[in-house]
Amino acid sequence: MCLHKVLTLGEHSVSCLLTSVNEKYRRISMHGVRVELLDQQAASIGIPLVKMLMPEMPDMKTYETIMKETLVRLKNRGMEVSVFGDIFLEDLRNYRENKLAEINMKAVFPLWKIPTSQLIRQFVDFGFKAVIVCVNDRFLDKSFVGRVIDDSFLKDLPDNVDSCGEYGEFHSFVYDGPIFKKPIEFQVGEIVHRRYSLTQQDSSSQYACNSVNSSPFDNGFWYRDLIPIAESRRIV
Amino acid sequence: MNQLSGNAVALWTGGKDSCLALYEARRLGYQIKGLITFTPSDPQFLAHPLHVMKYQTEVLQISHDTIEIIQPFNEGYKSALRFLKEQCGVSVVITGDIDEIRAHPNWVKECAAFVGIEVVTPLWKRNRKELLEKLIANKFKIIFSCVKRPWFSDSWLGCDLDTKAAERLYEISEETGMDLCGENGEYHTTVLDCPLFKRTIVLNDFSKETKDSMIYLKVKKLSLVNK
Repeated sequence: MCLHKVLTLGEHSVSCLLTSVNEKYRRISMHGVRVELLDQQAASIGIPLVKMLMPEMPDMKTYETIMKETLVRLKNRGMEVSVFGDIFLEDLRNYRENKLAEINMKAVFPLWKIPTSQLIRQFVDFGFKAVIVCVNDRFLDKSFVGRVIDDSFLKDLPDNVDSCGEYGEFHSFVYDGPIFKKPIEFQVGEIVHRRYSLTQQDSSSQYACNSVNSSPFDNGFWYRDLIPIAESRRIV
Repeated sequence: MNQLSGNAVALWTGGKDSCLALYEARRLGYQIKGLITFTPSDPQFLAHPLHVMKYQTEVLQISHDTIEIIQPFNEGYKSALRFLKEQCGVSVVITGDIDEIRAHPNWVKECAAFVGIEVVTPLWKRNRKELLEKLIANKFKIIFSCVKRPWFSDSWLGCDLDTKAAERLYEISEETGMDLCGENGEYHTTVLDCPLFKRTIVLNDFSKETKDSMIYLKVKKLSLVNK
């Protein structure tokens, strides 16, 4: 939705997409989506993808070092601005702005302060399709992972859950929409539960990954695996 | 139904920027219900003649209307946009504007904010060279329909905006500081074909006319051919 907004408003030419990836599991940090699907997504959108490879539970220092190195490399290639999809978490915005200011880059927040219920409505109306890949079990039970974001999903969200999951209540994988040349095909796989017992230091690193921050301890997450359908099989 | 993306209109001049904006907005999922051309009270249309637009909107298969903008512009644009919102149910206006013109405010953006219409500007402040490259890469057939001295001579009129012409534009822009996309009216274009057109427009007969520093194509006969 953030990329869509940037393309709608002009102002910036988007040179690349940046995603942090867990090096060991080859999955998107926190979201748990396989790298193959991420690659297909970027290819369908038609914008080059840059992957930031992170170790398995990076501490804050490691996360920041890798992030900084990557951004400096991009800056040297002529990129001036980093666009974030944050909507209303002030401290997260400040954190990002400060970090980017250190390397003379600008942080931009195109979705800032747009009411999240309105945003998710637009998302659905524009024909974007997303599947829930991860939920925080403090907010949502396992029946939500694997569901598609549609009217009935929005209706079933409890009142204490933000419509866009801005507090990390849920994460999704977008597999189709107006900026996609073709939908990403996948099969829905198994459901797994993972619990992270975080140290104080680790909690700040999770925080930097835009996850839940209100309770740094004892976070349990339900994940639904998405299995890519191989190119060769798709042709058959 | 699709409230947000369904009630969009695109502002149309028939030139490369309005066409690229339409193309981009379509790709972004906007369902464009019609094209609107804002015309001055005393329409001269040297750069973008209305009869050429008729051919374009026919091959686009989209309805096209004109709305007269009465001076002062501030009020004129407001009442035009208010008309679109209140009488036509329009909630989104798409424009091909790239930049402020000589530091003047962008009337559509300013007035739309006042009236409460969302403005979609997919080309806004984008890198000019990238925009030209995008047009060429996506096989837009664009001709120079109106050029201004001292940047251009009449030999440009009717020529295609292709890779070769783009290279010459880069040179002129480097030497003179001209806006690469002609955003200050240094040149105007007409789109004869693009991926959105169902048929191709062919220019059969035209003459070259001059008015002050402007040299423009007077289009006398057009036709359509199948792709």
